[in-house]
Amino acid sequence: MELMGRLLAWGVGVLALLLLVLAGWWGCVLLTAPYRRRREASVRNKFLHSVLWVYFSGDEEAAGADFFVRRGRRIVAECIADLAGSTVGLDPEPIRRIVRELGIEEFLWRRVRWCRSYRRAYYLQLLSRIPVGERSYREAARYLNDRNRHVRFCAMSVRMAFDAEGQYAALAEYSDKISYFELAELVMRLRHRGLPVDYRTLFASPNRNLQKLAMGVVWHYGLTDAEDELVRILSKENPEESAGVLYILCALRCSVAREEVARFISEMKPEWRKALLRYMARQGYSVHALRVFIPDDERDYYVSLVDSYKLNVG
Amino acid sequence: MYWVVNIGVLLVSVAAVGCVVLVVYRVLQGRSKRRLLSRTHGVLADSPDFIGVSAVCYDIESVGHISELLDVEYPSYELVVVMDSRSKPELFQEILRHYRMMRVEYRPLEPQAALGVRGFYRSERRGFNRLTLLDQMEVFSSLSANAAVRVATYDYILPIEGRVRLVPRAIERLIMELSEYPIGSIQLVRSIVGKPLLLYARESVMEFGGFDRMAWGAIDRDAKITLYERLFFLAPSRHVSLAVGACIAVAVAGAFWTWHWGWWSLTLMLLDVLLLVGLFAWLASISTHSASEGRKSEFGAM
Repeated sequence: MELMGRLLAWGVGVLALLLLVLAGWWGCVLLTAPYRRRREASVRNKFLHSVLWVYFSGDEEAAGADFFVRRGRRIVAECIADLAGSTVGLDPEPIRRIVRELGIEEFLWRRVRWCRSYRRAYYLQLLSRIPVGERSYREAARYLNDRNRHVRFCAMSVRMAFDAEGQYAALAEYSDKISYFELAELVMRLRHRGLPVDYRTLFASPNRNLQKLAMGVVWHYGLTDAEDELVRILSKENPEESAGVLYILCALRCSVAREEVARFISEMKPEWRKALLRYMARQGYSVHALRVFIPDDERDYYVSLVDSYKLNVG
Repeated sequence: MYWVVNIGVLLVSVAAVGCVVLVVYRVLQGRSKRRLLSRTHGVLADSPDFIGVSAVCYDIESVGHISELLDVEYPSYELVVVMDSRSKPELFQEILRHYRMMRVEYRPLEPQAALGVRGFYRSERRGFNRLTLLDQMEVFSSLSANAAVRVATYDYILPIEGRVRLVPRAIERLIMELSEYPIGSIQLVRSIVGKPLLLYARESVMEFGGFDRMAWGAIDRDAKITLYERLFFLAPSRHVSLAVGACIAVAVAGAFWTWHWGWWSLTLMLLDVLLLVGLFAWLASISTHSASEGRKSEFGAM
């Protein structure tokens, strides 16, 4: 009985302590949030002014380096990453100088080592957007086998960002199949860097990630002359990529009556085909484009889609 | 007998603490993921537009509510508003006037009369071509889902009830989640924090014969995703805030009183209640915060 009493007393104590800790933490967060937001916005503004001054005046150094180091290198790193992510063809040299001067790279690597999971991926993502040295390229290799997929992808992005020449090699070494989410991110980065992309070489590669990147480039830039390369990927063995290829062919308004394409569509699972038909209707394909190779009931469905108000209005 | 009750109380406390720790951990993980993805703009601008969401809204309250639901940056998104023109004639007319909507011909395969559909309306203005109004008899409300699903353009359906609002960039967040998987492989996405959100794959809804028949357990593990983020929110209600505040006050007072008299098991139970109510209040506060912050952050950070 006495033991039970003690157990209960301990339980009450532990629970009360937990409640106090959680309530205190929440209270602190609520109370400091407005101050933190104001402070971050102010540092951000000052830093942006400083960087723009470097760009427009041609000065070698950003003004007030100590101030930014003292006030938070994380905010500065975020600011640089955003700047690089929202501009095209920005001269990286001034930013490289600022990163070196403020020790941003070392700071971010410290954070990467300390954090786990999505937070680690976050700091790796920041690293992938700022100009980094060879050390980052080497260190990022350690995280290519992390448990979290986002960490692996961001580590690969750091390696791609370091070396423009060898970026495709870094992608080819990536062990996961890239998702459409990651593909969108890669295409965006290629566009921001303004580097030439030889999509035919990427299509010719046996690596699926490179092929998928080529698909993303073709879709993004509307390269209709890549039709033959796209059709070549269509096969039953890789239905996932093939479905993506079909959507891209439709987005490019290529003919779906080609033998390989028609055969693939007729062999698709009915529910996948229905989704494709809806996409084709949105892209403006006529009923005649499909007359040959789909079952009658699906053809009627397609006719109803094409005749629907959605294509006639708006 | 007395010690059996005490052991039961201890076990309940351990379960409550475990549950709270797990939820807090998951929610914080969710926040970190949201922070990571907030700097990922590619999916909005550069992703192939294969994945789209059709939001289907019932019990619309006002024209302003429609405007809020249309305020989504992701291009492959549409809003289907389902309402009965006879039960809310004034609101119906106001919507028609405000969006300059006109009746359009639409002949889907299934007979519309069987679903109680009176008509479809689309806006004459190009800026609102993502809006569709479906006039359907209220008695057929259980079939609203079916009618709306047939009208929807995209492959994922997001049912939204009347008073619910979308957290800014909620649709973009869902698209990011879906685009991490192969096309069409995800059948159901849910967010269990706060007001539950369920996003259905259109083909699965048709296959199961309606939203209500699509049970979580009936779907393959690889085809469903659980998010620990608030994507819907209800406008903060004063009554709920007062009720939560009263609950906390009563539980604190009760815990002190029972502790004073040495009724440890009762104290423990009251602390459990306090912990769970506190968790609820915390989840409510982070959703209100994310909703009010919205797009104020620089560079579109969420």
